[in-house]
Parts: sequence; C-alpha cells; structure tokens
Amino acid sequence: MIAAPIPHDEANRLAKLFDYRVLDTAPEPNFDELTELLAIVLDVPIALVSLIDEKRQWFKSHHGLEATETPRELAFCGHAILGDDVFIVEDSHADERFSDNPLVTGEPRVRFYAGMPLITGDGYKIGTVCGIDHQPKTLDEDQRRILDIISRQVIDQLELRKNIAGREEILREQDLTLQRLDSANEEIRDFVSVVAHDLRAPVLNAAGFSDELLASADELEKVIGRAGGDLSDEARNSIAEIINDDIRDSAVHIQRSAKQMDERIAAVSSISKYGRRELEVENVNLCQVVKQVCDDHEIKLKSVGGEIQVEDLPEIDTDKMSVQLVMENVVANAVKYRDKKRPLRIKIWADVEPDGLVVHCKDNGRGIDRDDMASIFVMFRRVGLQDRQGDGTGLAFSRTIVNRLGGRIWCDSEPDQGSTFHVYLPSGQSLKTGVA
Amino acid sequence: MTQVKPVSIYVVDDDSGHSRLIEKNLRRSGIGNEIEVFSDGRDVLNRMQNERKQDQPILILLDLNMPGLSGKRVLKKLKTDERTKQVPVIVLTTSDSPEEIKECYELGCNLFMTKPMRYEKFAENVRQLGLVFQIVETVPVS
Repeated sequence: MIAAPIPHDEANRLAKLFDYRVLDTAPEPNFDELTELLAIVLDVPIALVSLIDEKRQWFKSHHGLEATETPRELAFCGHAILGDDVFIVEDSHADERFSDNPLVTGEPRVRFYAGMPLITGDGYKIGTVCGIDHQPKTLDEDQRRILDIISRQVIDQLELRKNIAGREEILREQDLTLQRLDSANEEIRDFVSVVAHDLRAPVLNAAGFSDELLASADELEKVIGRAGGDLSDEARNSIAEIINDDIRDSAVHIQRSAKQMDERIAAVSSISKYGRRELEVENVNLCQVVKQVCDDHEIKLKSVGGEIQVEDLPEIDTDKMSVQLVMENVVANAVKYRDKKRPLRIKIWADVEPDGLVVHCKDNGRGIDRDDMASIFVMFRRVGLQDRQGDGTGLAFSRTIVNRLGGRIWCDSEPDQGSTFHVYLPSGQSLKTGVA
Repeated sequence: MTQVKPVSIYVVDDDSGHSRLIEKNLRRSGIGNEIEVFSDGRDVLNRMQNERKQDQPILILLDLNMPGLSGKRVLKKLKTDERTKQVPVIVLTTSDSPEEIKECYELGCNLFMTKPMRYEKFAENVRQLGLVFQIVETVPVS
C-alpha cells in the first residue's frame, strides 16, 4: 500500500478547513441530499463528503456507510486531493497503491473509487466528494461532469454554512452587548433614583432647620419686645440687626439653596423615572398633542398678548407621552424666554421625512447667543439673561427623550430675532426596542 | 395613686434631624401627645412586642430608608403581629415612587406621605388625620 503524500500547502490547507468549523458537526440534510444524489447518479452504494483532517478523513455526509471517519493514511481521498480533477480507481485490486489497503481487503471492500476534490475559492483542497462501489466500474463523461458539479455544490454549502454561522455569532455578540447595555442602563437608572432619594434627606434637614431658625428669630423678636425698658436702645438696635441681617438673611439663603437642590433632585429623579417607563408605540395625532400643550399655556399667553399658530400636523406612530413631554418643554421654553419688546408669536408646523417627520417650533423671542448654543441641551446649564425661574433641565430632558425615540432635537437661533427648535421623530414599531 | 401613662406617638427615623423636625412641627401644630423617637426599627419592634396594649402608641410615623432593619420590614412585622397590627402607621419617606407607595399600602400602612420641604403643612395634615381618628390630644398653641 502506498499512502498519499502530504500536500505542499498542508498547513494553510488545514487552516482553511478549520475555518469552516464543520469537523465533528452533526449531519445536515443539505449535504446528505447531495451524497444521496451522487450515489444515484454514479449508481454506487456508497457516496461521501470526506474532509481531510491532519490525521484522519472525516465524513460530513456518509451515504451507505456506517463509519464517520477513517485514518488518513488509508484514505483514497488523500490521493484525490493531490490533483485538480476527478480521481478514479476503477479496480483497486489491480492498483498497487490500494490492493492491500485494509479498506480494500476488509470492510467496506472498496473496489471502485471516484473522488472529486473540494476546491475552495482560493484553491485549497480540503477534501473530496466521492463514490465507492464493491465492484470494478467506469464513469462516463456525464457522470464525471456531475461529480464535478456536486463538488462545487458542496463547497457552496460549506461557504453558506460558514457565513450563516458567522452571522449568528455576530448576532449573538450583538445580543450580548445589548443585554449588557440594558443592564448597565438599568443599574444607572436605579443608581440615580437611589442617589436622588438619599440626597433628599440632608436637603430636607437644611430646609427644615432654616425654617426653625426663622421661627426662632420671630420668637426672639417677641421676647425682646416684652423686655421693654430692660434693654437699652442701643442693645435693642443691635439685636434687631443681628436678627434681620444675620439670622434671617442666612436662613433665607439656606432655604433658597435647599429649595433649588430639591428641585434639581426632583428633575433628575423624574428623568430616571421616565427612563424606567416602557415606550408605548401607538398612532399619535400630533395636532391633538400640540393643541393640548398650547391650551395649557393659554392663560399665560393671553396675559402677555401672545399667540400660537399651529399648522395641520400629521399623525405618527410613536410614544405619545414622550412627544407630549418634548412639545411641552419646547413651548414652555418659547413662552418663558419671550422678548418683552414685541408680542410673542409662536408657530408650529411639521415636515414629513422618510421614516418620520420633523416638527418645528419657531418663536420671536430673545434668541440664543451663538456661544451659548452648545450649552442649551446640557443638564442644569442655563444661558442668557437669568431673570426667569428654571431648573435648567427642560431641554436636557427633551434631548434625553428624543434620543430614546431614536430622533434628534436641534435649534437655530438669531439673537434678538427668535429661535426655531426642530425635533426629528422617527416613525414606527421599531421604537419598541428603544432603551433610554 | 395610679399614674396613667399618656398616649404617645412613636417617630421611627434614623435621621435625627428629620425626627427632630417632625417632633417640633407636630408640637407647633398643637399635638399634645408624648412623642417618642426611635432611631432603629428593631428598638420599636422590641418595645411594642413587650408592651401592654394600653401602653401602645396611638400612631407611628415610620421612615422607610433606614440602615439595619428597613422601614418596610418594620411595617410588615407590625402589621402581621396580632399584638401591634391595629396601631395606625404613617409611612413618611423621601421617595414618591408609585411602586414603593403601592408596596407600602399592600404591607398595610395606613397612609403614605412624602417628606415635604415645609413641615408645617405636613404636621397640620397629621393633626387633622388624628382628629378624624380621635387619637391625638390637642393643646392650645402658644
């Protein structure tokens, strides 16, 4: 018996084979059907898809044969992969390379062998597809041609298999990454809500005890009032000064800071609460949403002689609450930062875009300085004239909401002319998977 | 001479500032009951499980966020114990999360209140509530 020599490109050939990640995998119909077809067409009892591993040949498909692998040195296929064409042994008994091969002298009694190398796109021969008979045989042209075609079908199947596996792996990895992101998000939200509540406790003390200080100041004033002539005018005056300028003034400052802190904590907490809420995608009548928001501001608008003009707005599949919150913030912003020099005019309209729409809200307010533009969507950052109450969270919150919907919010502004806020809202059911 | 122990209100809060403010404001709103402060949930449970029925408080103000035994566990223990379940409990906490509120009512709390920035209103609410239940003693506000 003469064992087949090892191909010159063996290392790369093996690497290529391993790349398919097919060795020792379960049988698959795509391959079994091809060997069944081959057996029929060649009229042989055995047909194999044989892959030549380092020490063995392993059968991805073995029609008519129990064995799933044999040692490489016995493999006919080891010879077949040395050439580029169909390799045929018409009668193994008459071939010195095979006549004493245990696969010939014993089971499965290989007498006839015809194998076509499985040649990869870049030229490596990783195995064969072959037919085996227990008696001598010849192949005609058509049968050789079919063997060749099936060998290429097998390679195609292997490629397909690899691509699918690769894609599945990518999907698995993406899934894992998403899961990790999800749980990280959840942790952050939980963290924010816990921190917010923990922070409230000391703030409440600051607020409560400054109230106590103010109450004590009142008491002290009463006591001094009752003291009458026991105190000199000078003492009375300086005590009054201490009560007013020191105690009351300090207490009021502490109170104001505590209140501010509490509002900010509440804002952070409400953002985290919003993030915990599941988005509910439904068909939203944008006109209705915006009208509702405008109605909420009607009294304020009337009192300053302002007007909101709302154009016909389309419907969109989105999360209603999110859109409500954003529009509320945008309109409130326009009302709050109006320019007193002229009556407030707000105009709201929308443009339909592929996969969604852009809502515009244009005002003739005081506008935003170019230098401040970058800060307006940043948490707690307030820009321009600080003559209005605000916690500096409205636009930051809006951006968080719009991002969660997979949209975008941005602003054009001309100082002393007004601002236009634009909100891109994507439409559709895809939002359901959105994470904050 | 028999001394009748005055009915009291228990305040359970690990933050001594909060319990002091609660106490001061309850007083200011005209509540005359004895007010006893516990900074650890275990202490209040110990006390109440060994207390004669007539010595038990008429109202408990309970904080949720406490180290050691949490307010929720104190609430659960109080409300599942035959000896203590009838004592009204007001949960008083910094949180206003709907889940937490729901959970506390499920555990049997009688009222859930979020700790306010201004305690006056809160103390007034407690007083009104107490009057409805006829459990608080009022004293003239000085």
